[in-house]
Amino acid sequence: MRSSEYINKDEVAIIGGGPAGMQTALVLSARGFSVRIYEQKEQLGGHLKGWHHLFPHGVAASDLLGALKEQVLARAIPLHLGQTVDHLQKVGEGWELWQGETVVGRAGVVVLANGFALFDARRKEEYGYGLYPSVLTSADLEAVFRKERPWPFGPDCAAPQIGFVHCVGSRDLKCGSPHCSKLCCVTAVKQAMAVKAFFPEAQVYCFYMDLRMHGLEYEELYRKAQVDYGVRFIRGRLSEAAPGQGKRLHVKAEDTLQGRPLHLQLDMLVLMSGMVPTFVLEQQERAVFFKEPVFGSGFVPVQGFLAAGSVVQQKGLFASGACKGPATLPEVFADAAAVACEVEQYLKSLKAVAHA
Amino acid sequence: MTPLLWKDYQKEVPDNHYFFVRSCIRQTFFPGAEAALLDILRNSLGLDIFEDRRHTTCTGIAYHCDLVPLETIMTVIARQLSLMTEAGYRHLLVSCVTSFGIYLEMLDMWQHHPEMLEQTREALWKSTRRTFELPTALVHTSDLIYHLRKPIADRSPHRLVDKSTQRALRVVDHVGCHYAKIFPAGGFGGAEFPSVLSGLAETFGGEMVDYPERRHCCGFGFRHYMLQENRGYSVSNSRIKFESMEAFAPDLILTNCPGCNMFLDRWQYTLAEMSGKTYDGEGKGIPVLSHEELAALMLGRDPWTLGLQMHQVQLEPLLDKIGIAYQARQKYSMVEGVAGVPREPGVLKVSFE
Amino acid sequence: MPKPDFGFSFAPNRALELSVPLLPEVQAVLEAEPSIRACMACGQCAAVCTAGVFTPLAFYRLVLQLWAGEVEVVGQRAQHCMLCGKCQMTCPRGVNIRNALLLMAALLPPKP
Ligand SMILES: Cc1cc2nc3c(=O)[nH]c(=O)nc-3n(C[C@H](O)[C@H](O)[C@H](O)COP(=O)(O)OP(=O)(O)OC[C@H]3O[C@@H](n4cnc5c(N)ncnc54)[C@H](O)[C@@H]3O)c2cc1C
Ligand code: SF4
Ligand code: SF4
Ligand code: SF4
Repeated sequence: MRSSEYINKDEVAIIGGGPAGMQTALVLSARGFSVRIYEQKEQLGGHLKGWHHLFPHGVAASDLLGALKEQVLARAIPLHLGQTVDHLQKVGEGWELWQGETVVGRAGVVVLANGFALFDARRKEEYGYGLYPSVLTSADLEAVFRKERPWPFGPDCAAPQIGFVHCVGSRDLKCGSPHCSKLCCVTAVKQAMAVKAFFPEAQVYCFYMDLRMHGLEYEELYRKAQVDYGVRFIRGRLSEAAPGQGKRLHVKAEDTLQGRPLHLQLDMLVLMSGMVPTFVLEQQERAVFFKEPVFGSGFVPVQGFLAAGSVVQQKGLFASGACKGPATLPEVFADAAAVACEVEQYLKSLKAVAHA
Repeated sequence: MTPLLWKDYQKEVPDNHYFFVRSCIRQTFFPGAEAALLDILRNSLGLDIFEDRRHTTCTGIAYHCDLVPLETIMTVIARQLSLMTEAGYRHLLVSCVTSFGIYLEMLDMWQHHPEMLEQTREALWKSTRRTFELPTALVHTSDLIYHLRKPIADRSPHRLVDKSTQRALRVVDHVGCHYAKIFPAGGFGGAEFPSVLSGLAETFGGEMVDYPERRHCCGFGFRHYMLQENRGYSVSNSRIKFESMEAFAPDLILTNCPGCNMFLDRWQYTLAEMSGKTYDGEGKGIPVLSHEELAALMLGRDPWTLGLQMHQVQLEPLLDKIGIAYQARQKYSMVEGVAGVPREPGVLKVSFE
Repeated sequence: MPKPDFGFSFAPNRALELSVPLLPEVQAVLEAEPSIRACMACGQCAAVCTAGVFTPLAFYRLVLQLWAGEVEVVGQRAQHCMLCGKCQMTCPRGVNIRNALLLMAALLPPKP
């Protein structure tokens, strides 16, 4: 029988080495706690690794990631790279971290920072992602910007026609994701402007239902896209993409402001894939399993207010960043700091009880 | 959970032993199609396909026109199933896409409302003293032809290739709306990327063209055709399809529904008269074949026995491309002797010297 | 053979075809008054429009129709404007509506 001494109560394990995981680790480490990061990939960074530049100011994603990694290194935070955690087992007040049949770590407190998954755009069948090579997701387009994949049209196409579809796999009950992913609107605007910068002669369209420009300076970006970049915004969700003439795609939408169907031939169609959960928690009395999400799965459920970090029904288990729902990087960083504070308070409360 | 990716819509099709139900309109418009189907299944492939001459229309068209009430159509369907049950079959093979949709709809309703199934059993019993079982497999004839496409292609002397240039013939398909748009899981490839016809054309060596209005309705629409006042709506929809496929210069339109076949064929004549335009650039129209007609041609059946002279858009240009031999003079030889050559339409060219 | 009378005919496709390049006259209007691009179809201009109460004039709709290349309609509807400037006072995006309307009105050929 393993005793509770077997676990160092003050040790914090962070699952996920994306922006949320790194920032939570940095704040806790700065406040004197011993933290470790378990990351399934061989590298830190999460989704940020795949982005080219960030809204609203166009900061290079690699600069931000570089700065974060540097701090993690400087603080000598132990990293367990290539280490997937698939369930947790409660031992005394603390946790064991498991991958399959093996214990990969132990900690008094676990912080989930597993982030989000990109909606599988193939499920939105009518857009033909995976079938037509000129249909990309927003993440694919970032890879194009990063020169990791080619443009889907040839160099002979100086004035490409390009469409962005908002809300792909968001606000869509048929896909099991009723929520708004909240940052794809501004991502579309950011990407539309970037594409115009690459191809000044391009004609760029955004197909939207509402433009949810919630962040500071996002709305300004939208106006700039219209006035300075000539991006055309069409209110209406895309209904269908099909092969058009030559290598082009033929798309259909309703221009809902004019009340008329609309047809367009495009050289590239970019789907603003939404953010969906990476896994669902299957909570048992003394264990938590990370299971493949199913149709309609929600994000990690937390107690109390929206920004709270402690996972419903589990003492000593916290959640940080986009695993709780769509979030931008500034939000993720603020959240990570707040969660770190909650963790600190929790650990202190345990000490207080022990003293009493 | 229902499949979410188009390629996951794969359907179980039994290999043999079917109870066959016909289309009510197909034999008037395309008289050789169903005979050819039975001939292929029974004689070329040696399958057991049973047909009971007492079966009737499914009343689907009248149901969709709001002329036949739900209770009536349910009882009619129940009667068809009782003939199937009586003959000892549990696999239902349906010729018409409208019918196929009706069977799917009734089975789905009975599944969700068992009390309706009970009422139907009672109605059928009271009116005919008949009972019935539900089918274990509901298969459209295009499903079965698709399922058997390899053995059929293996026996075919022809390919969908231009014999003189070796160019693959360009095929556009039109899958009947009620094949998979109502119950996507009931069809191969679901509603967005149905493979039931494209897979067939490709097996025969044709090149599929996924044209923009592929999923648009053919324009039948039941109510929209039944009243003359509404027919403009029907022909406008077919026109949208023709305009969309025109740019791809298709050699052939392939359909799996008697209604679609009818409208995509006949409306080409109507539109030619109305607007002076045909969609092939040569005034001959784009030939339209159903899955059975195509399979029969590929298997070397005689075009005139197949009833292709009853099409509005004539098939000789396509037959010449594929290299199918036919006797021009036999075209209008009927069982009762030689019928008169039909009158020439104003625009569409239907005779070739 | 005489043309048959079917008793019905086909309707034109009313879908907007966006793939055609912008008409030169539309481009000219947009270049002469670039602030038109800033319109976000909020409708504030239309709700206060003096002429809009009696006529089909709604400025933001003319902008949409201009983008769609429907210069005839735009030209005709712009004739209803009285140049009172009420719209421009409300526009949150600072569109120079009156100038835009003058340019739009000039899209119609002058009466001989
Ligand atoms: C197309 C797109 C563009 C964006 N652009 C911007 C932008 O310009 N500006 C901005 O502010 N935000 C942007 N965002 C949002 C930003 O990417 C997120 O806010 C951020 O990535 C969330 O960080 P995270 O650490 O919570 O999650 P993630 O980035 O998803 O990181 C989670 C990490 O956890 C790891 N992990 C998952 N499961 C396990 C497991 N079981 N065991 C171990 N490790 C695991 C993953 O491998 C990953 O490294 C964008 C989002 C999208 C979709
Ligand atoms: S942020 Fe915009 S694109 Fe994304 S889901 Fe919300 S409304 Fe749709
Ligand atoms: S008030 Fe301005 S932004 Fe709003 S619709 Fe009118 S012109 Fe466009
Ligand atoms: S200036 Fe013209 S458009 Fe503007 S409020 Fe007056 S009448 Fe209406």
